[in-house]
Amino acid sequence: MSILDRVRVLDEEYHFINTLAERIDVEPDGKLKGYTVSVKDNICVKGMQSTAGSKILEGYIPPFDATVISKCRAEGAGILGKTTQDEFGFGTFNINTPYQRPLNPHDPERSTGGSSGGAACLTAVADFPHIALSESTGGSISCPASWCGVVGVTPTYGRVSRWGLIDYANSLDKIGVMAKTVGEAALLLEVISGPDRYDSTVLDAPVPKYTELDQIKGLRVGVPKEYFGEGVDSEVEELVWAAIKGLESKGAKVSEVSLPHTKYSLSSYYIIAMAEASTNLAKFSGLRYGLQETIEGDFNQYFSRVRTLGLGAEAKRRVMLGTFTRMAGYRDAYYLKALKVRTRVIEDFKRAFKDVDVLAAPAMPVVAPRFDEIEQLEPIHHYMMDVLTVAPNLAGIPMVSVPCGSAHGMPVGLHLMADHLEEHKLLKAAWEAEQL
Amino acid sequence: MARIAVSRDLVLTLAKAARLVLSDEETERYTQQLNVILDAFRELDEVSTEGVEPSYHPIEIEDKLREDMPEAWIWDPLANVEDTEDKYIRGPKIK
Repeated sequence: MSILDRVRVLDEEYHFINTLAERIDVEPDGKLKGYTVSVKDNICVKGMQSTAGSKILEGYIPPFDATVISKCRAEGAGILGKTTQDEFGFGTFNINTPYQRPLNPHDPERSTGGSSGGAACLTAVADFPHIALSESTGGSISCPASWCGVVGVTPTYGRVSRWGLIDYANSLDKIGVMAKTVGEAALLLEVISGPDRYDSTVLDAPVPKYTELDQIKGLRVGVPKEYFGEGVDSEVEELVWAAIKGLESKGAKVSEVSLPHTKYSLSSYYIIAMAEASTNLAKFSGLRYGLQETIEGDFNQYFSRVRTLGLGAEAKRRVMLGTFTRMAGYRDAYYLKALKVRTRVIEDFKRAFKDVDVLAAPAMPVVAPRFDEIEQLEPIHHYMMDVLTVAPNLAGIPMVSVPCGSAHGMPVGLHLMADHLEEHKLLKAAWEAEQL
Repeated sequence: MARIAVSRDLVLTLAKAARLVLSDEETERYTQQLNVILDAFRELDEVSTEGVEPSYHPIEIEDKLREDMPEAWIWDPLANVEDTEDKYIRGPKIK
């Protein structure tokens, strides 16, 4: 059976593909020779429908490859197709989409997590060489990686070019990777990192050999006390502590640290993310690409008709909230305040990284919930699920979720975080945790 | 930040600014949800930000300029347009 046929069979069971490649073109030899790479649906692949999980981009065929895709092709990867996601990344369960909802491979009655649910699901079930290109704004890699039991790496903000990414929130979006092992994740990250003349926000810093994984002697691990306790499932906590103790038994020095503004990161994150999303989504007007209707009425009538038809309930909610927090009279109290609190959150991390190499915590407070449980939740409860992932995303520091066992029969992720551009340290620590 | 009582009128104003049309049922639902969410955001008032600079980016991004050189257009800007006429995109009336 060909890999594409195998993916079709798996997709019928787990629903993780939005668009499948018609054929796998394998290009020159390189670091990714023999690997297939799946692509989150918000990253543009030439000639392959890219919807970002939204009906408003239905039918959009990018006429170019995102920089990360060009880099993968140049290293010999075969592009497999586009994986499901919450619309524009707006969600924690990959249920906010008009396309198919992926099912958790460990229990199909449960969510894969979001927003990169399809990427995590396919990574977990693939029985052929595969690595996933994914993206995180507030936790969209760590969450599904944790709930599906795979490795998910979110790099430093600016480490990887975003040219060709359908943006959600420009000061937060980061393209990252998911794989079955830390070594494979490091391989893809090494390929996609580094400068790009088409994206001026990429950092010029040299790209270390992420694939050189070995033990860091005397690794200093900080345990942020605010990431444990109330709201965190006790079995999840126990597994994460067991992993931390495992690192300690191999020579790591473990100490408690405090990140006092953690509690406020959720509000700061959502205000900033929604404000940026509301301006980004203003470009979807049903004229040049994606959903296009018969032209009737004036500009405002036509735009309103297409946007009402093409945007889902969560997208509308975020666009309206973002419009509010940027409005004259409210901007300073909400948007500007959130940006100042973000500075406080960044300062917390910078202070902690003076004394430790990595921080260790649970990636998610609970295991993947069942769909019937999610249906009972209000939007505010969806947002609260991101409580452990938004702070490092706000600060733009790199993070990785590594599987560390099962609670209630479902996978749990150990979340490791490091200072800006310290992916090499982060991946070595993750590799060590993987060996436990 | 002062407590904002989100009214139906405010929700309809936001929807209009965002070019969205809401049904009565949606207006009702969003009014209730926006009240809850904006109320939760008020917790930021507990954080002292006196003299703190806002972080528009998480990391310092330097301005970068490149040579202003002509470059070939590598794709057809009309490739995804359904309604064209003589290489123009047909759009709705301005008024």
